[in-house]
Amino acid sequence: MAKHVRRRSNYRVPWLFALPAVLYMGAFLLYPLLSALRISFSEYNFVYSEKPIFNGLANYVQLFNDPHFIVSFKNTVYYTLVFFPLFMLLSLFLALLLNTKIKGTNIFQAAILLPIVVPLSLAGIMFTWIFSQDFGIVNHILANVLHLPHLQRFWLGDVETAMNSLVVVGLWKYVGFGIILFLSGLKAISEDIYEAAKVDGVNAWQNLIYITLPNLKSSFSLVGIWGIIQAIKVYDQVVVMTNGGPGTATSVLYLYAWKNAFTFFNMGLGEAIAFFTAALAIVVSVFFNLVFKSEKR
Amino acid sequence: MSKKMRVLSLVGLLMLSLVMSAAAMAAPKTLKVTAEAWYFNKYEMEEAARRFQEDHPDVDFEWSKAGDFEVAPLMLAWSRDRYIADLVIVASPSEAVAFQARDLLLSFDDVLVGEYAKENWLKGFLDQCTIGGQVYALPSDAEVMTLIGRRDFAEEAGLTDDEGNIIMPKDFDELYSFLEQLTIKDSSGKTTRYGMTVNWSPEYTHYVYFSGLQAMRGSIFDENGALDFSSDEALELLTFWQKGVEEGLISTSSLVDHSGPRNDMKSGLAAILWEDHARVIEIGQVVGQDKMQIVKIPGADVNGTVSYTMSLMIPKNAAHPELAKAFVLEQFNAEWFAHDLMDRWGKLLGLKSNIESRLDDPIWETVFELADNSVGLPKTVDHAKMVDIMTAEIHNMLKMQQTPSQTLANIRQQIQPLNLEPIE
Repeated sequence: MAKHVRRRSNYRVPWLFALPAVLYMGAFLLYPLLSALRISFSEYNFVYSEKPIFNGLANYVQLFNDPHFIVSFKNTVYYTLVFFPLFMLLSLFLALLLNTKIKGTNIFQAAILLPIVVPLSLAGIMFTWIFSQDFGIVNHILANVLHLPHLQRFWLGDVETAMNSLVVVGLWKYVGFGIILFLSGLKAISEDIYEAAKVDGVNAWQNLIYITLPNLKSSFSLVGIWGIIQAIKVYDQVVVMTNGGPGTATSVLYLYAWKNAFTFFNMGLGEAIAFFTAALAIVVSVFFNLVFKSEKR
Repeated sequence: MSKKMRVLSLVGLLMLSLVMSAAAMAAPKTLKVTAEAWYFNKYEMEEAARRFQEDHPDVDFEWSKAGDFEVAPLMLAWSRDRYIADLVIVASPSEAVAFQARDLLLSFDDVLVGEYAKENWLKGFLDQCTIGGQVYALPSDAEVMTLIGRRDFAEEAGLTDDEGNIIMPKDFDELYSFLEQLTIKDSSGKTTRYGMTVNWSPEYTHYVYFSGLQAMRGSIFDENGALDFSSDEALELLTFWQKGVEEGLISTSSLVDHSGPRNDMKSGLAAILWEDHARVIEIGQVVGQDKMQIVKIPGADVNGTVSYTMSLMIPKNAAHPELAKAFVLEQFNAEWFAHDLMDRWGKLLGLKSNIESRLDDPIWETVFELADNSVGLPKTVDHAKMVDIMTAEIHNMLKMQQTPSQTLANIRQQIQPLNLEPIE
C-alpha cells in the first residue's frame, strides 16, 4: 500500500514542476490563440461591432474575393520562393567555408553572425538609405566606382526590384542563424569518417557529396523549416522599408493582416489572414519535413 | 471582546479611514497623455506641464508614448472601458468618428466659451473635429495642403517677379512649364534636380489629390455628392502627375518613404514640394528661410485647398476630464505654445488669435488665407480603407502600370462597397 502511494506521489512530482509552465502557456499562449481563432470565424469590427458575431467561414471565403489579399498572397509566395533557396545555399556555403581550418575564420564567424543581434527595424532604416535612389551607396558604387550608371535603380520604389531588395535584407539578417545551425551539424560529423575516406582516396568533392551532405540531413530539415517560417512570416523589413509599396508591390500577408486589424479595425478578417498564413507555414514545413524523411528511408 | 475594546476598535477604524481619506485627497492627481512618440519631441509638453503645475500644484503628468499609427489600436482596450489616458492625440478626425461611434469621447462644448468660443477657432479645422454639431476633438496639428517653392532655384530659372517672389502659376499647364524650367538633367538624361516632389505616401496621397481637385474645381465632390473620382479635373490632375514622373520632372521618392519629399527639398534635389504648409519652416531651417516661399496650388487663390488636423480627445473614462480640458485650453492653446510650434515646426493649432498675431510674416499671411479658405475631407466610416485603395492605385499609375483613366476607374470600382457617407 505504502509502495503504491509513493509511486503515485512520484508520478505527480514531474507534473507539479511542469505546472507553472503549463499555466503560463495556457494563459498567455493557448487562451489568446483560441480566442483569436474564434474571432477569425466572426464578423468583428472592434469599433462598430458590440461583440464578435459568429459567421462561419465567411471571412476565409471573403479573402479569396479580395484582390489585395490575392496580391499579398502572391507576393509572400514570391518572397518565399526567392528567399528560401538563396537562404539555404548561402547558409550552407558559408558554413562549409567557416568549417575549414583557415586562419581568421573566427573573425568571419563574428562578422557573419553580427546581423542576428541587430534589430530588423533598425537595419531596415539603414538599408532604406543604402538603397536610396538619389543618395544610396548602391547606386553610388554602380555609377561612380563600377562606372555602370545604366544599372542604377530606384531599388525600393520600382515594382521590379522592390521585393528583391527586401529579400536581400532578409538574407542579410537570417543567413547568420542558418550558418550556426549548419555549423553545429558539420561539427557533429565524426572525423573518423573523413579519415577513412581519405585512406580510400576520396577527393574533396566526393567528400562533400557522399559524406558531408548526407550527414547534414537533420540540419537541412531544421534550417529548412526555420527558413520557410521566416519567409512566410516576413513583416518587419516590409513595414520599415516600403510599407507594402509602391502600390501593392511588396504587400505581404502579415502586413495585410495588420492593416485589416488595426487600420481598418476589421479584426475578424485580420485574424483570418493571420491563421491562413500560419496554416500555410505549417503545411509547407510539414511537406518539407516529409520530403526529408522519405529520403532518409 | 469587551465593550470597551469594541468601542476602541471602532474609533481606531474610524481614525484609520480618516487618515487614508486625507492621504488620498493630498495625493497628486496624475494627468496621463497618450500620443505618438514624435509628438513629445516636437511639442513642448514638459514646459506646458511645468507651467500648468504652477497654477495647479496638485497635478502630476504621465507621458505615454506610442509608436507611429499605434494610438488607434489602443481603442481596443479603451472600448472595453479600460482607462488609457486623460488626453489622447490621434492622427485624424476620421479616427475621432470611430471613437465617437462607440460613445467613447467627451464633448468640449461646455468649455468652448468666452475667449475659446467656437467662432474664435479657424472654422475649417474645428469643423473637422465636430460630429453631430458637438466638438469632440480639438486641432492639435492643423495644416493646409499647398506648394512650397525654392526662391533661389526659381530665380535661376527666371520664374520670379521684381521682388524675387516666385510667380504663382495660373493653371496646371503653366505649372508644368515651370517644372520643365526648374528641372535639371545630366548628360545621360538622369534628373539631378526635380522640378517638383509630391508626397504620395499613404499618409498624404488623399490630401494632395483632393487639394488639387479643390483648387481646380472648387469642390472635392462630384455632381452626385460623392468624393470625386470621375471629373475631367480628376483626370487632368492624374495625367499631370503621371506625365511629370514619366518625363523626370517629378520625384517619386515618397512612394516608399514619407519623409522622401522633405528630404528632397532639404538636399536641393527638388525645387517645389507639394505637401502641407508646415514643411516650409522645417526645410527653411536647413536651406535658409529666406529661400522658401509658399506657392498656392493653381486655382487655390479662388477655390481654396484641403486642410487636415490631428486631433486631441478626452476619453469618457478619463480619470480627470476637467483637468484635461483645462490643460488643453490654458497651456496647449496658449500663445507661447502655439508660437513655439509655428516657429520651430510650422504647425498650427486652432485658435485664430495665435496666427493673427503673426500676420506680418508673408508665410503666415498666406497660410492664414489658405486655412480660412480650406475644406476638410469628410469623416467616413471606411476612410482608412479608401485611402489604402487610392494610394495603391495612384502608385500603380505612377509606376506606369496603368493609365490615369484606368486608375480612376479602378478606384471607383473598389470603393463601391465602402461606406463613404459623410458623417456630419
